[in-house]
Amino acid sequence: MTSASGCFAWVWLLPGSLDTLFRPRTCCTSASLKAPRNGRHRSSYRVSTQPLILNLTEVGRLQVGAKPVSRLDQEGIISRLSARVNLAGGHFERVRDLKGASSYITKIALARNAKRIVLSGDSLSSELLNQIAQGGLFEVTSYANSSREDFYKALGVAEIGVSSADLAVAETGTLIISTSDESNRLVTALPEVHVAIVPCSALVSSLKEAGPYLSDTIRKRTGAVTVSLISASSRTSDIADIVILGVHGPKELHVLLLEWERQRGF
Amino acid sequence: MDDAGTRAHKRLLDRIKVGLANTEQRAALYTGTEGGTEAAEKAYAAFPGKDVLLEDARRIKQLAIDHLDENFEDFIRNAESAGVHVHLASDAASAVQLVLSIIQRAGAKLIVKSKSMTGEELDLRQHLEKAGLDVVETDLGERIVQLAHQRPAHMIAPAIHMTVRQITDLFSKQLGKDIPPSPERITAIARESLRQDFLAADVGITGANFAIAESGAIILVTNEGNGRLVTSLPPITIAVFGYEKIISSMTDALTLLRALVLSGVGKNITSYVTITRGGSKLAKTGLPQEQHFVILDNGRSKMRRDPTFQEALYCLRCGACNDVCPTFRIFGGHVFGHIYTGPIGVPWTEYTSAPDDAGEFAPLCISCGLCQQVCPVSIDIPLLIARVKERYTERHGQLSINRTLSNYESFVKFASTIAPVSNYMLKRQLFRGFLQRTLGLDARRPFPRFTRHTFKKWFRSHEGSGSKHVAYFVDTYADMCEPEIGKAVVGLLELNDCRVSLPKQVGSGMPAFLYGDVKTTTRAARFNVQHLAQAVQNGCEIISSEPTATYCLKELYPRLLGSAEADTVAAHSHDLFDYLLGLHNEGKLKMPNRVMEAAAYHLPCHTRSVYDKSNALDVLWLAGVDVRPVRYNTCCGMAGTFGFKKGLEGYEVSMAVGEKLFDRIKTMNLKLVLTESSVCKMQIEHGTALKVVHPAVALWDLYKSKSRVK
Repeated sequence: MTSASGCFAWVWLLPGSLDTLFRPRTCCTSASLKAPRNGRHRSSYRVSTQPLILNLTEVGRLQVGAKPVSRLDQEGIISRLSARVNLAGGHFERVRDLKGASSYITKIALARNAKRIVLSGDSLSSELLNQIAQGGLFEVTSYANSSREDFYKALGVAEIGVSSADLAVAETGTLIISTSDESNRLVTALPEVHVAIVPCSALVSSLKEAGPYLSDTIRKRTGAVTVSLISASSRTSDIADIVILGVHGPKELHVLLLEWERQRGF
Repeated sequence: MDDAGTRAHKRLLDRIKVGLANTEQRAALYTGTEGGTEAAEKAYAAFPGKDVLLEDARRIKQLAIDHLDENFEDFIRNAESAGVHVHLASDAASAVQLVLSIIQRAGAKLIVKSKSMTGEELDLRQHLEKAGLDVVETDLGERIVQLAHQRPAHMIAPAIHMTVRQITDLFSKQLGKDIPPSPERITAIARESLRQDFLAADVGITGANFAIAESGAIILVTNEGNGRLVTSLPPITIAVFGYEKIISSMTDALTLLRALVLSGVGKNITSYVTITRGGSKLAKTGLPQEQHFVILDNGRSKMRRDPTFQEALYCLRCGACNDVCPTFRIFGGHVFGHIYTGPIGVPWTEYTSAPDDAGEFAPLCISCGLCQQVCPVSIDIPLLIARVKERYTERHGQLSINRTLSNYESFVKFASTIAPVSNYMLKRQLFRGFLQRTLGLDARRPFPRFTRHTFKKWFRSHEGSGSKHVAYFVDTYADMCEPEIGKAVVGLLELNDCRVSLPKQVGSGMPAFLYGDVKTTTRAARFNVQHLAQAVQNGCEIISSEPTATYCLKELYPRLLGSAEADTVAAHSHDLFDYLLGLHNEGKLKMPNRVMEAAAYHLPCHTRSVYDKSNALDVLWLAGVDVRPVRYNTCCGMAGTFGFKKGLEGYEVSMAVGEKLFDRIKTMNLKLVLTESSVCKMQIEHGTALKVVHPAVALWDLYKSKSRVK
């Protein structure tokens, strides 16, 4: 096992629930988590000792980025990601925090005359519920706060689906989202607009770097798991080689980079 | 040829006739396939580390097939422990039965399907429909061919052969009302109706692009995202795939994914890649989804046991060979294909359908070698197709014209001996009519001029000197038809301080290979390699001026012979211009430097296959010649002796393939065309009426016109 995947294995042990979202650093280094105590692991874990938002995926696993990334590197990664997303016909936007994300979503919803928004079950998306629902402009259904029947109904009619991403790969402009509940996958597959929220800690530079995460996410889980790599909206060129967007799923993909943690000295 | 062979040949000719006459389809096909090749070329040009990626990809597939037994067990164990129901099917019928029983046990009625070549191989949709089930293809292209009651015409673009108008008519008919001929509108209509099907479906059926042994997961690669809805909404999903799709790890999958997508659609990655294992919780009920994997053999283990055909299992189904293939561009997969389409379709049909099905359309391959060159895992498709042709002729016999052309060398020798009588005779329409009726050589195709003052005769009395030793592999044309090429090559080499020798040699044997007479080619290979290896031992580098000869020396002979000697000869063989560029890199190249009229340049396939670029173009530019490459990325259509065969068997197909090239050369408004290949020369001269010259001749003429030497 390489040192990078060793780090993964260790992070794997962290228990996951909504209230661990803003887990302080002491928690991450707590002995109860059976963290390897040797120097190698500690150094490769440097990134998580910063005050940061841990992106809690609904498979109960905390993702803290594949390896420590300096702020300068990170700026490069962000600009490459942004270029890739835009090149593939998506929209890339930096937002300061969840409030910024919610005002972006409000803006595009109003512009498209959208009325219904569904939020995926991951922690970041769930956090958005109150913010977007506040104005009373939209019918917002969150996976975390509604019954299965209601959520399924909402999925069928919503114009906008909001989820977060476990990882975002700059090289290919790819969002990696894992789940073992199809409700969450459908948030990114049924509505005409998909908005993905990406925390800075989820940035990796290449697909290769994301390899161990992909491999571990599936291998180490028992039972069902589905990982989606999303790099653009749904498209076809099956008629006369002409590109048409939104043939089955989203016509638009919006990637919102959450800058909050960076401004806190990440 | 026996009766069955003759009937099959007749059927092929009928299909060729219909295909050639269908200009609307041809236009659609050409746009789609050329676009595909260009997109991949562009994407690879922008991708750093193409060679490393593709080497890795081939190695990964090779290892996966070598270790398939272990990977197979791991895959099944891991999938089953995650709750997947795994079924094994030894042949198509049992796979269909398995799928049917899963569906019937659940009492399912509506099936949604995503595109899968394995599904096509099984005729799965047709079988399910026969059993009274409602099956909806959800990939837009596949949906279109379903509505048209056709098969996919291309490995990854099923409706590539259809025009907007035809597709509009189809949907209008299905809806019972007229819709505007707009791709946007048609797509929107399809979205609406397919959405209802997704939501109501009882079972979703997919294939798999990769199956990962370490985790028991499968990977689906799509742009449309229909694969996501097929796998997320129905309570039961079934993935049907061949067992060659099993690879060892996720890391390997990511490498293969890059190669597949770059070669297939010319993108860094597709819109969606779905990795799935075990049934996730369903959105509607919260119950776990029931997931089945049906793993298919159907000839694959037989293919794996055959040392030659084993590598066909490396295929990633990217469709790049379909796009680049010169005859596929004219006919599409309905003629050039059985179920698996295009070049790789030939070996795959040989093993997954009846071998005679493969032998029937294999003659459409004209051995240009481009399929192997664009293949991300570098499968030796030309050799596999030649072997299929060989087996077919062993069963059904050979066409007499093919036998004649396989022995072209004795024909050329005779014509050369009796020249100029042969030239006179071959210009008489009466005699050409006679040849067409008796031998089957098309009367419209001009022959090259033969001469009895051959290059080899001239060279016997030629004295040259130089400190570097090179041996010239001259091949037939530069010897007996246009000795000026041979003389120019010797001249340019001697100008650069080379002492040229002419080892014992025969023609390359490529024409026999084209007709599946691999034995004859192997004989020529053995003879040439034996004598050239001697020359290499004496310290010579081997030079050739004919792209096909270079292709044989560097690519084909080593694969046919598999000997260390052949590898040595290959390593020391060069295209003339590759050798000259080598001298340039050492700072030793002497070149004429004088202004010449501007010329167009056509890159021969066999040069492209060996070097992936034109060395001649580089040398011409070094010499300051204003030479402009033609935008064209497939074969000119002549393919050695193929363009000489009469009518639909050769000439007419050959001219149809060359049409685009002729048009583009003509629109360049230049008077001179340069190309290294003798057959490209014949084809372009015939198609454009322009003067076509070998670059070596052009350069040597420049030099002889008393130029300065730089």
